[in-house]
Amino acid sequence: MSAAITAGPPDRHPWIARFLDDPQRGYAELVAGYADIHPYQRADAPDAARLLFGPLAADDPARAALDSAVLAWLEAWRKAAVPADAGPRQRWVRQLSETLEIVYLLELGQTAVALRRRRLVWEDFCARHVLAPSRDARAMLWRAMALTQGLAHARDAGIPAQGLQPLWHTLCREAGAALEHRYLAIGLLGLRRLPGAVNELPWLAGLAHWAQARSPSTAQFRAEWLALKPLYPRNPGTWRDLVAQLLDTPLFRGADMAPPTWWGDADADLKPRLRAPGQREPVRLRSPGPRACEAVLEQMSRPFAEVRAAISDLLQRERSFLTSVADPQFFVRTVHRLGAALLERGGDEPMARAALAEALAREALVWEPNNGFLWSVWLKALTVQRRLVAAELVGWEAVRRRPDQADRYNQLALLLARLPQRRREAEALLRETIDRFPKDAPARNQLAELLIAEDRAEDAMAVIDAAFAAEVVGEVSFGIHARLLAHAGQHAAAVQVVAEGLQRYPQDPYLAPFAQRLARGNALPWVADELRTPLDEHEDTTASDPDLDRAMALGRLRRLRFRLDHAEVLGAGAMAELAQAVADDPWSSYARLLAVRAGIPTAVGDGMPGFAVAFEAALLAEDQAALAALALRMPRLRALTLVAQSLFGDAAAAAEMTKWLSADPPSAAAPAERSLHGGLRAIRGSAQTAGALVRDRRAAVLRVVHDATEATIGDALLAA
Amino acid sequence: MRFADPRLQTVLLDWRSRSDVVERAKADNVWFEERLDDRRRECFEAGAAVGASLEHLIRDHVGVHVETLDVPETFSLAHGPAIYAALDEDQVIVRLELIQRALVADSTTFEDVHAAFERGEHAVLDKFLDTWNGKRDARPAFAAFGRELGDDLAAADWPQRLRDRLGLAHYGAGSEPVALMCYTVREVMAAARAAGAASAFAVPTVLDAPSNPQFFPGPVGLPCGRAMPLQDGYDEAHLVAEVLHARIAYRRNHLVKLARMGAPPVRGDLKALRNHHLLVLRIASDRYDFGEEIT
Repeated sequence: MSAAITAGPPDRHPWIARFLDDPQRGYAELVAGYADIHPYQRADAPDAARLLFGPLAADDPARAALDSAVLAWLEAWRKAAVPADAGPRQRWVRQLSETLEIVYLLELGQTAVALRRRRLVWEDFCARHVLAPSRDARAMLWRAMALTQGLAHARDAGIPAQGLQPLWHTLCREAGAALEHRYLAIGLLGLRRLPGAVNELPWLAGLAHWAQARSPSTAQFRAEWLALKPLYPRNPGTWRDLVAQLLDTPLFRGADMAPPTWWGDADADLKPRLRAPGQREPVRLRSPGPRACEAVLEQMSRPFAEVRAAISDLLQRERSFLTSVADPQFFVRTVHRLGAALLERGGDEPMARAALAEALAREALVWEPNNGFLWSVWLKALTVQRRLVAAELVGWEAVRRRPDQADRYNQLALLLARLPQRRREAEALLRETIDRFPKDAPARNQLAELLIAEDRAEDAMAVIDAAFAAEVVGEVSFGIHARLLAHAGQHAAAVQVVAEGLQRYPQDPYLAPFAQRLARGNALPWVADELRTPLDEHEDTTASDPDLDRAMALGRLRRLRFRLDHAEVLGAGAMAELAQAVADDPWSSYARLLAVRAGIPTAVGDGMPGFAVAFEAALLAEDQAALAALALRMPRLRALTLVAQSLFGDAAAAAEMTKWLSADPPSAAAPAERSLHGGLRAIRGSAQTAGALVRDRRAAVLRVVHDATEATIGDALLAA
Repeated sequence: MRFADPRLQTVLLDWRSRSDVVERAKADNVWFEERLDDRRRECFEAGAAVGASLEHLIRDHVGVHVETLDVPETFSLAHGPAIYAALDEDQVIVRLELIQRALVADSTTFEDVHAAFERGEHAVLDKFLDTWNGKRDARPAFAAFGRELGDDLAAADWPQRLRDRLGLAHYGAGSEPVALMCYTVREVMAAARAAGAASAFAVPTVLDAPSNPQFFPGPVGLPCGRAMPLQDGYDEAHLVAEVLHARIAYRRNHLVKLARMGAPPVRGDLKALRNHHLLVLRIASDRYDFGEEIT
């Protein structure tokens, strides 16, 4: 390179030409600090990239080449081995963070779209590389997404403009709890840069959610509020109205907060003042409410075009409230009711109705990703559309997310039972569900129905007898029992069971007709309607999408775990399938976790594996020291290590676990802790202490621990 | 500096033999280096992979041992040829900072921060500094002493003057936003103690930053390093002491001025610059055997 430097920074540095010869190599050298970019050698990669590429025209080929090179570099980095030593690992994370910074500094649209499209993959990856505030790949990823959300939407209309709003609110709420306080700035940044926002309500709502969750002092709130207020020169009255609108909504009203709460304490401009004569009160922000939903539900039998228009109108109003206040309870409830009605009330165009139900469920899941009802709507909608592979895997992913909800297993088992070649799996799943939830009557009923459909009446009777012996029965149990007795020719006994059932459930719509049939000497129905006609799968012509792909990928691995757990019934092919899964995607935390559990060595080196993988290894090795270290590393999941230590005979841990199990989980508990708590309570039975539980039901406890470990996969709030 | 490992010494000699002035300058910096502690050199040599270029080896060493540690190698020693153990704690340190990345990260404009600075809107400035501090790691910071820059600091075109005089060739020009940060030696020492560093101030060496032809090691006869300005023709009085110091979290009172950089520098030919700087260093240190001109 020539040493003669012309006046000022050149508009097109000579290095750009060399970069264009091999952009991927050029970028790798730039971010590593090896590039020959005199006089910018001393600059960090983001500043160097800014100074080199910033002056170039927007359509300069070098910018597009940089975009592609950065994306390729990120993909390669994600799959690269992480250095084990602290120093090189710090540098490794620095390069990752700086690359993410370059994405927003230079507004690299292709990379911004790719990050959004596979957001969960990138979050999972970056959450493993949080070392310090200045070496925090996860924070940098979120900052990049906050600053490029408009760009990503503009480049790809399939990316919802406000699709990240729930994430930003989560960051605001969890700042100072699950996340360090510094993440509040990123949450608010995302809301400030939300595309399409018509006023400041989104970020005011973010601030209010944070304040409600964290109860800051006046000084703390003032510091956050006054840091942003001057950036938006509005009349004091405008701020007062916006804050009044926000705090007048049910979420804050319900918490007994009268406007202007924190704002009034922190800012004299926000204290209530007299309104001028004739000055209008701010418009009240309200969800359309259950009556509006009822009105739409009453129209469900109309032609689908009309139904769709009515739903669209209602949801538009729901969304307006939702995006202003970020209180999803009304939206989620409406979607659940509409989705269920679209799927269950019949009408024309059932496929289109199901497709709409699916879209609604997925939209609501963005706000409440672990809502079991919404997962249920999604699974059913896919089933109606005969996209059965997707339906099954979504069902498994729902099981992974909510292992503490028996309904998730039952619903999936029903789908499998409707596929004749999958009934062995359905039976195994239902038997496991009964073991997990001894007090759940539907699982026992469903198993009996499956066995009846398989013409195994004696086995079905054994299931029902056991249910009655354990007093885990409902109205359906009486009906099944009566059918089994009648089928066996025990007419009088069947009559008596129906009578007992009616005595206990006089309103049941099935038992009364059963009584009439028996009185007339007619047979009772035998195989349940839904198991009589097997499902036939249609060719799935729907274009795949990253979110569904991600759910299916996780669901496939959850199914694999099930097959591994039941290898004695379902065959030993699962190990080969797992080995293949690890070979196909050696960077998948979930596949690696299962491989560690199964004793399959994984190929990828990793300086610090994600919590789930490290925990599983410690669990397998019964390594108490490693568990203690993990408890320190991930204090939010201390309950998980506590249970593991109890399993290994630690009496002090067991005593602490007893207390933890007796209380409700804290409101801020991670989903993994909630699933652990719920799963253990379901199997606790008569065990008075944790010590007794881990002694008497060791295998079941271990299974619940495995559930909780798997529930950490994809939880971006849990940095490694 | 001379390596104990003959292979590295050969690589250095090869590097110095390059006709490219930029490469020669970077190699000369290693050759001229007189202050690097033997322990640091040994650490570097122990981690140096055979076959890599010396520039890459330095980049890797700095990346791992200086830029990314909570306590950089630079400040891991309490004593040594590059360590300043004693400084008047009331002295004011100045540092010119590029702030564009912090502005973008905070989704704030220069005008926003500048207006907040002018109007004394503390919350805005504090939040901006929070974001900025969060992005800054613990790498050693190049800085100078305020009293040596009095006229430049007072001038209307202070950003350009500081850039040119401190040799900040990588700072760009035009609308590039910059901040002048001022703080005391005492504050830096306190921050270094809190971080567990053995020292707080050091003379820059070739292992404290990536190779840079605009850097010039100072001879041991001078009490500190001397920044190489972007233009030649200056004399000893124009030389500014250049120090490295441990990380300090910026606070509102450290932010003294904000501006855009303005006119680009009129940079001289690198060979002429370095030869002139060498001459001035020799005169200042009375060490005419120090270094070697590029011919």
